[in-house]
Amino acid sequence: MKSENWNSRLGVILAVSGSAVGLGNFLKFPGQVAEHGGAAFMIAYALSFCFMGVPISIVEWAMGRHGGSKGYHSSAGILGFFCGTKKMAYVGILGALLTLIIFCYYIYIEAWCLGYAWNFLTHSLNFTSFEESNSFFVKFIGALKDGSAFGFGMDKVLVFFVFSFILNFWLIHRGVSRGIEFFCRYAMPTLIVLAVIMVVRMMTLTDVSPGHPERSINQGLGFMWNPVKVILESQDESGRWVKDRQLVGGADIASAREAMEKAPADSAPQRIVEISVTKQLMNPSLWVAAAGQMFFSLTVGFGAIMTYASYLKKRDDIVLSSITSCSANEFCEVCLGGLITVPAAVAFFGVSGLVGAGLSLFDLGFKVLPLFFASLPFGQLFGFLFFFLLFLSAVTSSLSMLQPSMAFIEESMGLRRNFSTLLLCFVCTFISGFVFYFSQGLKALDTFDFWMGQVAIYVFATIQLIVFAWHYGAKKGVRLANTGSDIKLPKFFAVIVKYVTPLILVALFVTWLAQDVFGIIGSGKLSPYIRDLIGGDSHEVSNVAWMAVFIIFAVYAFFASMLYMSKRYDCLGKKIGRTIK
Amino acid sequence: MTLGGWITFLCSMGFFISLFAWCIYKTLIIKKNTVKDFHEALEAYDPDHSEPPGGKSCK
Repeated sequence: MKSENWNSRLGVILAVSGSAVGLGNFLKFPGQVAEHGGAAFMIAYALSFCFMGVPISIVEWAMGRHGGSKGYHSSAGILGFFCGTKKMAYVGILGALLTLIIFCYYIYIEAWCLGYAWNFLTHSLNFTSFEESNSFFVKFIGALKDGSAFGFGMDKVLVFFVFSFILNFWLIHRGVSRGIEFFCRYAMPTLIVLAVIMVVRMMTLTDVSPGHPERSINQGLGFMWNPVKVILESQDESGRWVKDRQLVGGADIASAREAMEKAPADSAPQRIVEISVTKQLMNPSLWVAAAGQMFFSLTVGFGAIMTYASYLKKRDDIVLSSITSCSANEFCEVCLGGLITVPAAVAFFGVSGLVGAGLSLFDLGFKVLPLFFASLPFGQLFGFLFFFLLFLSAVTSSLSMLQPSMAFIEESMGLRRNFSTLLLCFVCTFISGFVFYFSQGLKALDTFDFWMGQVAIYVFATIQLIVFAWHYGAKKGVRLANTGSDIKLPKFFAVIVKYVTPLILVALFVTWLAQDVFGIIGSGKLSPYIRDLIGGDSHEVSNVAWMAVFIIFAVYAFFASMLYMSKRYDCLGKKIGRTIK
Repeated sequence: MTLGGWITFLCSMGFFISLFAWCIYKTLIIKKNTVKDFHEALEAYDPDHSEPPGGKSCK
């Protein structure tokens, strides 16, 4: 089978940056900064970038390029090659599996972006209230009832889903350079230009809410970036102080003080408290949020970068390319994404209104912002530009999710591109169809996201690090990364990658499990995703969740059987053996 | 936005813009200061061997 390579260095950087830049950059990050406090969150975020994001990224690039130079492009082949045993290839399948499953639900969200872009372009979204915006979203994606997403028309997601699906498979069928690189070469600069246009528009907004002079872009920026959080608290019947809302800006604080003074004597006592940066940094959930945002935003630990890097030539630079793609992602996230959504939404809804509507990715992106755009002058145009920007960022990411499983199928079965595309298309149609059909409350999507998009990624990233730093050797790994690179990694990078990054990753995973999954810290409640499987606490067992878990195991078994039958990996141990001798 | 907010905002922006600009500069502007012999040495160097080029032979 003909081996593929990237056409240019810029092409691979754009492709890897494209895989990292996604919806989270523009929708999730601003909400996270606002929720956890500007300076405190950014300190934890910057540290995570230096000690977790960049090291894992470099590890993936180094492993990918080295594996690719020996003819392996899938995570299964590369992990097997590094460990010198076919057994490890069975672990490596996890990389192909998780990216494939993530693709199958990500494409559904990608279709929402395209659908919103189209509907803004055709002036079909003229919301006047949050209820209207929410109602359109729920009907558009079919969240009311299973199977309700099926249906033709521009107010249904199906048409856009089919188009996005075909586009992804057409590009992946064209190959690494003629498909992925070609698309990212145009999509990434377009995406940045669109984002800059949106930033300029948002930063020049005035009088968004004429009835509320305190609501402004400045207040929105303060909500995100102010280091000291000012909170209005009320005392409940048991005497505990409970957070009422966050106050941003002098006018907001002054009006709260005035309201407190005028409050009747028999009303619940209120107070205004300030939470300093140091106090915010003591909160473990801030660190989990910042590190998690960094980890998921950079798309590290998925195995996607590893596959992309495997198409590099043996002496191609990886250290500078890796840092460039990471910094491109951060530029899009902090400098562009951080200025578009939350400041504009606060200027329109106010802090309380936005928090009430929701700061989550879906709430902010598909309920709050469409209403905001509908109320702007030329809002339909800006709405189209914004959702088209999201669509482009989603396609560049989804392509990177598809390539690892494509590489695995081609590598293990030795299939030609046409057959491997058809096989992958068949598998993806089935899984995406499952996500698409069971759209009520987004149960199938959420279940896949929990098990593959969160749990499996932590596990796979940790495995990669251990294989690279402990099995292959950190010092040898640094030499491997430095080979051909334009900038050299310092020697202490070996210490970081061997001790610091795995420790952070494991600590993050354990804290996340204790806090959000098993409820040992904090709420004390078991995660709803676990409850979906075992029931209890008036939570019914979900058949959809069980089917989703079954699909994950079925796809793993399918990939494992391909690996078992393939002779491509039988020589893994022998190859390493010869080299060592 | 408070003064602290502006400082946080500008430091965050400054850090990531500077890093991105430096990377782009290094990637696009600076030509690779490499020579043919160096590339040949790299080609010959297999990191699976424990010694770098010029070191002890693994044979």
